[in-house]
Amino acid sequence: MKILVPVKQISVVDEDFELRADGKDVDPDYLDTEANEWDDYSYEAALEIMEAADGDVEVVPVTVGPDDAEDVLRRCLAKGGDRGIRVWDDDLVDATPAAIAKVLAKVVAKEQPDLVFTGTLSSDRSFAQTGVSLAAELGWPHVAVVTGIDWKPGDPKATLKRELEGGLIEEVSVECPAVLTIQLGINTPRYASLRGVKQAKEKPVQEWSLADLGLTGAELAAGASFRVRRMYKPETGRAELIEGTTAEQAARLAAIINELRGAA
Amino acid sequence: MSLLTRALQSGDEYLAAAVHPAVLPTQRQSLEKLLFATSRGKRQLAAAPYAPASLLEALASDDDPKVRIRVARNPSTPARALGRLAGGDASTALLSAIAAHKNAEPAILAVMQGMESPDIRAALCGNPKTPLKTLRALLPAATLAERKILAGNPNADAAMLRDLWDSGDIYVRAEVAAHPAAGPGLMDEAKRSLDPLVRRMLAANPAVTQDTLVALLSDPEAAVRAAAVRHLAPDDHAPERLASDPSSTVRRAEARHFTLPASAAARLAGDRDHWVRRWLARNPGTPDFVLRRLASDPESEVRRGVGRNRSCAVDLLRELAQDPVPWVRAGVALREDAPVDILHRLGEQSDIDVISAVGRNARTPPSILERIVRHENADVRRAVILNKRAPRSALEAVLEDPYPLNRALLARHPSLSFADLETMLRDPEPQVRFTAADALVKRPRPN
Repeated sequence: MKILVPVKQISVVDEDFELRADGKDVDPDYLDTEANEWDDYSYEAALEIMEAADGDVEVVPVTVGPDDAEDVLRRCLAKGGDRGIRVWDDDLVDATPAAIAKVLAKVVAKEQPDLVFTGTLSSDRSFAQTGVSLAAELGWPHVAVVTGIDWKPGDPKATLKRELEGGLIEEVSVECPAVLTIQLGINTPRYASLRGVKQAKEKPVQEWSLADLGLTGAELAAGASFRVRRMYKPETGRAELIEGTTAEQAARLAAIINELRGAA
Repeated sequence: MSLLTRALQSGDEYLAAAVHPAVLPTQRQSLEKLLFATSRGKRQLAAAPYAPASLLEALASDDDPKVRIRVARNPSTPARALGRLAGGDASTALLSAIAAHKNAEPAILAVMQGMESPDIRAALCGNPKTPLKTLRALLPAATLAERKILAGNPNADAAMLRDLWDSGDIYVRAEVAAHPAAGPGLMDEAKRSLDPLVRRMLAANPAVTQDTLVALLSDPEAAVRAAAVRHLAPDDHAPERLASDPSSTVRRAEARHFTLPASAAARLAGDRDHWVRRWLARNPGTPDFVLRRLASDPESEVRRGVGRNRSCAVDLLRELAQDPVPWVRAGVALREDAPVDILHRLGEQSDIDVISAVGRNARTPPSILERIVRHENADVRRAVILNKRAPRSALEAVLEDPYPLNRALLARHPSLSFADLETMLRDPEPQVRFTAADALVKRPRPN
């Protein structure tokens, strides 16, 4: 039994940044990187199933990213799991979620997992598409924004919870194999122990190129679902900068609050 | 291996940053090669609040204007680096940042007084380092917005304040009324002002006379009376009358007054406003019989206030240590004068707030700390880490705490040994490595 967990190294924009010369993205010189928060929860969900199954489940983190994206895999492996997979090719720079899904589908074909857990979205791009696009590529059922999982190795179906508007919980069952996109708060992600961090450095990370997966850059580009035309900072909206002395600012703030409450 | 060698051999930028202020200028250059290798790295360091002054000084000479402006905005930048920045080819944005900087030398600020940029002028008007002479030079052409800022500058003198009072709007006058340098004449005018904001700000003026405060106790505006109560010296007010003031704001202020007479305290203990009772419960001047009454208040925050009150008697503490609400018991557990048997009992409990408080208490015996520090909850473990009196024996279990923030805070603990800190230099978290290196640099080596 196996759970594949795609994880992502996201970009964090510096407070004072510039755009790339082509105007389609932020200049990488102004970007920092960190692990996607949602993936902490999806990986924890997989580890919890692995630990409950007492060794009958393998959890494999996979990422699509350049050399330094290996950090997110090591971060996962420090918490549990024995190996990771990193896929990269220069043709994957600026890849859309649909292209990433095609790559991950090939990884799934090689690894044959019983379940795939992705984060609901990544905080840098917020498409929330990779998981559902992967399910579409595979022809597997999917459930999005999952907040509870009841599944044991060998179960043909998983019973899941989803949080809806108004505090409602929807309970659904899904046939396996399936792709689940995991929501924040489903669990409390653990921190890796120092021993785990040291051990993770020695764990194997397989590196695959597009060719290893039987894909080409042209093929992915042809299937791109959209292209970025430009990126820009919009004009400032209706925001009012409250100026003056502290007492004056407090008076203006009170006036705004009263205005909004219809009291003035 | 020295910290310098270790930083250079490992290429660890965080280690290098921590070591930078402690080495010779020639050695700094080798560290700077590592630290300033990329423009991104330089920008990040220039904006980092933890960056040592020596590094910011070095970055103040950088060719990249984006680096220099971040140095100018960094609150840790020392005066000398700001002087260097101001002396170069400085943009208006850079000069504005220097003009607003609290470490800028008065002489540098004075040089900028003739500049016309509104941002620079506003920054100079508000900077507490701007000398009086410069403030005076700014006044004649000051806009209303600038006058409001000038009126709040601690270096303004009585003559300037008179000018501002005569020419300003109600907000300028309110700032003038609160200014300690406003003379008796201005304060008298402020007392007679028809605007309650001006009278309230006057009541908050640390230089206002007790007579004026007593007069303001009869003000028709509750906010003015409350401000006057807060600043009154002992015995100069009318507690009996204020304790029954129709405004809860005034009664809350009264409940905080240290010299509250017993009769007024007794009256306030039955106040319908629970904030009044909370302030009274925390007031060290509240008499014992009132604290005993408040210890059985239906509001748990009031009972916690009694437990946190340094005047609370030990027998009352014992009673509150058995309160059904954990937050109240946690208040008792924070008391450094709590008897050890109470700490022992509270340390056995399961509530996280209670055991965290026991862990944080400087009087908690090591045997209890050694148990609490193994708790599964990271916040509870952190409470022990934050306890500066915790012995090393109690901290051993958290040297490899899985929560990085706990390890970073632990690296500042005075009970850690040199060997502990040296081990932490290999931590996977940069913040932990930096803090450990910083602690090693600042701590004198044992002979």
